[in-house]
Amino acid sequence: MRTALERLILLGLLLACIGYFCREILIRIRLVRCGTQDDARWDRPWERLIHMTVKVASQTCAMRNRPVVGLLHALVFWGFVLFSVATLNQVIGAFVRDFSLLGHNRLNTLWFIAVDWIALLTMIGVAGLAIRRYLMRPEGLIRPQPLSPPWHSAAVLALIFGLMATYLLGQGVEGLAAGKFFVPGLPFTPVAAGLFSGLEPAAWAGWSRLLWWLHILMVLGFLLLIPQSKHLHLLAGPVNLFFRSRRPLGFLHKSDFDKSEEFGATRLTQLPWKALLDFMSCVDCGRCQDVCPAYQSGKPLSPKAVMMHLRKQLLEEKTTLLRGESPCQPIMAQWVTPEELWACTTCGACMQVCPVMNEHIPTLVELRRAQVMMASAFPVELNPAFRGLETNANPWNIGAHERARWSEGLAVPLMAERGEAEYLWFVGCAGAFDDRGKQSSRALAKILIAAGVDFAILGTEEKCCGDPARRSGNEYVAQMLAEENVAVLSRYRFKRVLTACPHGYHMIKNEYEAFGGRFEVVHHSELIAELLRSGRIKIGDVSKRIVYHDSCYLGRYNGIYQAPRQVLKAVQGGPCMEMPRHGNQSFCCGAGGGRMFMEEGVGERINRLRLAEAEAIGAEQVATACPFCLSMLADASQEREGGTGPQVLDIAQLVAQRMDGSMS
Amino acid sequence: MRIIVCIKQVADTEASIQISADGKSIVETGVKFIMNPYDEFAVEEALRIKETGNESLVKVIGVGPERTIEALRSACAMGADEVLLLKTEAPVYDALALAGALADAIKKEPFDLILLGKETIDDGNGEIGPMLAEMLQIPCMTVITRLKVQGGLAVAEREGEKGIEGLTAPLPLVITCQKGLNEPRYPSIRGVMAAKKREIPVQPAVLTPAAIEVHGLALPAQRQAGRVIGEGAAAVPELIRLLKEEAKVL
Repeated sequence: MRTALERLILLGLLLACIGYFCREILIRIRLVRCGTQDDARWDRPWERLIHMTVKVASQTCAMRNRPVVGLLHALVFWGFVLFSVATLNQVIGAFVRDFSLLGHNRLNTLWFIAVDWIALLTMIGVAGLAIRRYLMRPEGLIRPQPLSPPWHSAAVLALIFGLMATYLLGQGVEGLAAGKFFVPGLPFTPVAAGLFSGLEPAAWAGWSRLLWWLHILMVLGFLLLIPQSKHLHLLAGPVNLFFRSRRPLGFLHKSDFDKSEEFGATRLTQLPWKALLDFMSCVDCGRCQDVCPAYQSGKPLSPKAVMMHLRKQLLEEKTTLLRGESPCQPIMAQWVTPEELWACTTCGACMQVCPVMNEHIPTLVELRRAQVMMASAFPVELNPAFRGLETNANPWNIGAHERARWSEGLAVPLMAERGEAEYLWFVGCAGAFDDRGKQSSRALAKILIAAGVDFAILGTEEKCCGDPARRSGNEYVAQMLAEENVAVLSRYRFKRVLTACPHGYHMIKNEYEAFGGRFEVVHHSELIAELLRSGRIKIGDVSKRIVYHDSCYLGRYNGIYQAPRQVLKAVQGGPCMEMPRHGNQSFCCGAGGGRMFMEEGVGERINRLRLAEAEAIGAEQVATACPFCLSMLADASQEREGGTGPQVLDIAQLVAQRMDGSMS
Repeated sequence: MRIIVCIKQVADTEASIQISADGKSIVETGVKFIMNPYDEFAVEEALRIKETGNESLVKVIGVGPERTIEALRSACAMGADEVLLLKTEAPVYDALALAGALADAIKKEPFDLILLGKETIDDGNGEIGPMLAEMLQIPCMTVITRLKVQGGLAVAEREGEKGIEGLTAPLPLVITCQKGLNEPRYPSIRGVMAAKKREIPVQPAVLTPAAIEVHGLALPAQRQAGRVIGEGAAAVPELIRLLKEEAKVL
């Protein structure tokens, strides 16, 4: 218990700091509530709570992609949680004699023995993080120039370190003065006490008082710092994890063209509230940036910079937003540049690694929507693609009547003639119009015919699945195409939709439901794997050094990693080679998000970076399971002098080449 | 300034063209129709002149059958202030008849500048612009790739075979637009939605009697596949013979 004067000062400080803290947090909650409605964030609340608790308590959120840094973070986090009992004891103990939150029992003793350890471990964690941040200076932390003042991180690290140090020293000198320690059997407090044993016993009380106040002031400093810095993630992070998306990766809201006259997000208030919570939760850790194909190839986009910039805008315009009188400033130009916005390939790597499960891509697509549908401002190369989608239902603007021409000379039945089939093969634009895509479609047709699969295609009744339009913000055209496809698909009887293109797979499987169509979809890698397993097709394997490149929309978006690898295992009589970045860590080919149809003038070309990765492990052939990846990587390979690049082929082509009697 | 843009609707560049039973027109069912691409340069240029700040009004006049309304809606979506359809009962292939219909409508209102595409991609005559200018008794500059309108003067450039020609003419005048003049905008969806609801005024086209009659249409001959004559020096004499006798280029 402190003196009356001390208690009075402490009470004043406490009220001021807690008052400030609550006010700032309340402002942030109100700011987040400025966003638009976002349903499907409260479903299964218990499951959400358990998921959040497990992730936060286990610290797997921090450790998953960076085990060492994650462990240091975990030490600090666990230390903090355990330490909170000590902090509360200190504060309340100032007013209540011999206060102990856990009582005076064995649990309390054990707890404080643990805290003694934890205080030391936390100091180690903090020191490690400080060494990383200030001596090792990893790119993810220092570039692009962080928006928060550099002293924020330094202050937080110093505060945590100081908290632990003042605690240990304070306990030590207090124990020395009292002749016994707060709880018996502490491992480090006696060591700290040793530092003071040389002093006059009369000085002990002074030291004890000084350390106690230092400790309290640091606790209060934390309250002031948290709302103002990225350390808001202490509170916003877990909340954000609770409200995580339980929908398919990259889920996009439908624009309502009948009711609304504003499409996409021109201003922050047009984004869903969860997006605004994302901005508040961003930790500025740079994990997203480290895996972003745009950033890694020298484009101006960094997912974390987008998050941090939008948080800054949100806070800078808080007065306008909270009064609700005048609309806030537009996002584009000042807070996000067009070069950043259009560099995104929507590969999903950022969302996959984000420790607080931020959803960067839906936000970027909302911004693209406003750019396309309201301002008509987008890369000029998209102009012919959009027109092609409108006029001929394909982004290459090739005559719609030519859609089935790839199948000439093959016995590929049309759904219009058959009326029903087990598999409705949705060929997709790349498979029908792109030269390399057509080769892989022919290969797949040969496989299906040889295996006697009951299938049919839509031919000229098929339209673009809508993916390139949707991811590049042209929701109007995307919805038109999706609705038309749903109407055509609903006319026929079939068991499953078959696609060779992961973009069509994703659209039909996960996004057509919003347009009134629920279909079971199978990717050609899955079907071919099944045909091989059941012996309906037989192939002679040829040993080659084949590496498989994971398509983002097949792997990360839909979790299909094994089927294409099983096919390749059969093709070469053994497991395929793996690039360093594979599976859910795969690196985009550069074509997603409508990027297939845009120029790539800045930085290095993403497809070349990916091909170089395949070459570095000595691959002779690169196998793809996506016509966009096929096109991008084959382009990169063709640019190699003298045709020395590895051959890039779709898995269907590799299988068809090895099928008995049908070498193509 | 009042700018009038004249447009036609044509079959999409990628459409598969079939000739109807009468042999004089094309089958329109299943064909996607678009605004003539050169006319799109004209609409875009008019909008850009307006956007440079001088008080302007852009009126787009379409001539053709009912379906031309869709092309006028595209013009609305791009930003045209006024539109008008001069409706014909059937597609008209004669340039003089169409130029007459346009002149008849344009005479009734004030204008400072008339913009058209350099030609339509269906007939490809490239005549309507000059004919219209003649009928209105005003100057005409054709196949323009750069344009600046300032102080009652139009300063333009056209690409000739050996260089660039610089032209100047006083307003009012007719200008026909060539590819390269600008990059037509993709209309915002807000514009498209507004254009959907827009009332399109229609009046019957007063066609000048046609001067040309279409006797028949035919599809171009199928391109022949390439031929391999032989390899190396031995193949040269045969190649020269074919270039002289068959291709007649030597």
